[in-house]
Amino acid sequence: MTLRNDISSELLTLSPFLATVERGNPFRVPGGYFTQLAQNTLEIALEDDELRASAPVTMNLQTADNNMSVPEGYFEELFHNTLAQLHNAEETGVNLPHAATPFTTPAGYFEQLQANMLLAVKDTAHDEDLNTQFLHDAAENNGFATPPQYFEQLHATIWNRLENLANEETGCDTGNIDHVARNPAFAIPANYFEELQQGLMAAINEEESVPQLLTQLPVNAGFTTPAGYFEQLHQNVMNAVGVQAAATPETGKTVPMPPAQRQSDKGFRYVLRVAAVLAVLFLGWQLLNQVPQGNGKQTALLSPPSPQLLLKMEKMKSDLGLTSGDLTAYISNNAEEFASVIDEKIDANDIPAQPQITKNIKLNPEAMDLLDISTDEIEEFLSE
Amino acid sequence: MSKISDQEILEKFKNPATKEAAFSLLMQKYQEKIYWLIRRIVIDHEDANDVCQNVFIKVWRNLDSFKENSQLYTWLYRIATNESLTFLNRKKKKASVQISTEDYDLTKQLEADPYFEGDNLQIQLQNAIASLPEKQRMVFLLRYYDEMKYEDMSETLDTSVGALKASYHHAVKKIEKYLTGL
Repeated sequence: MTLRNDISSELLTLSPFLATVERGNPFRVPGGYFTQLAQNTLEIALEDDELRASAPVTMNLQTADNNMSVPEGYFEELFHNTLAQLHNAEETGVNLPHAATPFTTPAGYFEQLQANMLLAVKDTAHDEDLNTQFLHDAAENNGFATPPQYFEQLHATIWNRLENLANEETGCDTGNIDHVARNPAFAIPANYFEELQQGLMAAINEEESVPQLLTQLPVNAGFTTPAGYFEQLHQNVMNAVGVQAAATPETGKTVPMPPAQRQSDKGFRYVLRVAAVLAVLFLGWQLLNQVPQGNGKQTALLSPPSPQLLLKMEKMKSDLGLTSGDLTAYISNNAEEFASVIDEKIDANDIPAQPQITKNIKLNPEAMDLLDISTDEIEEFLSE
Repeated sequence: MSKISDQEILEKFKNPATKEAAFSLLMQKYQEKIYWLIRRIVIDHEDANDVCQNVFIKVWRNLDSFKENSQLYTWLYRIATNESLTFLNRKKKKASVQISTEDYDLTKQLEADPYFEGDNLQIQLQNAIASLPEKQRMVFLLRYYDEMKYEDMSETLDTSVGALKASYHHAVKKIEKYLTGL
């Protein structure tokens, strides 16, 4: 019991895992095996004794592997030694012992072997032809027969049957049906189909040559205009309709803008640009911070814009009367520019030092299209 | 039944009148232990049966010359391990000559063996044991299944106790790695 405990604790120390594995015996033996094993073994042992007593020399030969021996490594080196001897015999020209090739062939056997083989193959082929000829015959003469000229007259026979059938049903003479069917009213010139392809190609080539001829014609194609015709054409037309060509067409009431308002317009465009850049930053931040649901992997972690920045941006949006749709449309029309803006505005300080940044970046496909940024580019950017 | 001592068996065996009875007693006492040791080494029942009979025939022939300076059961174990390993080596040589391209697949053999009832873990454990070097395999089998003392094992395998402990340590670690690495 102590020994078993010692072995168990030793195993537990060496391998707690193996100590938990059940030490049962998975092997089985046939039923009644052990009850007969002793008797069977004893019988064999006694027979062995009898044999040894009656034929000691023979029985000793059975254990000859103990009496005879070979040098150490003999069998391991036997192949290489034999091969070396063969190579040596070839190099030195020494004939191998005749006993190595106890079999002989008739004189000239190998010289005539090829010719004999060809003859044998031809004979075999002839025999095979004979053997298979009956199959061809059986296929052609399958046991059924037709009257003489049956197939040659089959067409005419069928037409006659049809005519007779029509006559019986309609009471009319349909003898001309056969004539019509055999002699159709439409005909084609001799060799029409043989020459059709050639004729078509000739027609196509002829059509293609026409535009080439046109391009070779002079631009004015032989017609001329009086000198200064086109320069005066507009004025002449206006004169004809009774209107002064120099007069400015009346398009609507024009109101001059005061200088202060023009300055404001310039400021408006500036503020719009700033708002757009801020919106891009916000949108970019939102796009880059999409977190996939379920798999627990955070795709990209960038620090969000400050609350002050967001408030300022919202205020500008409201001041300028811009909607999110306006900004999105504006961004989508200038995707490349905004992508470069994002690259410039997001620097390494925006990326936290946590190890959550993974290479498994999955952005919204629409956002990818919008910003024209590939996943590889984002990974490269984040890794930098 | 197995309470008869080894000494009594040996004395009876020396007497021609009781030799066969002594041998039967010896077999009844040790046959199962010897068989299972052989079976764990050679795996297949038919092979184990052949090896087991050869072991006891050798015992029958040589028990007269047994020197009582060692224990009878370690002597039996020694014959059994030697016979089993000899059998396996012969089998490997035959297999390498006959089917040199086909690898020996113990898992398939165990799954097809009608006398094996182990689950997948047991199959993998047998695979792990079979993958051990010969010496480590013998040490592990004798220690893990037969709960043999290192001193007795030293008599059986003719190896020092220190070397046996090291072999067992390596064997256990390798088996654990094999099983946990699956």
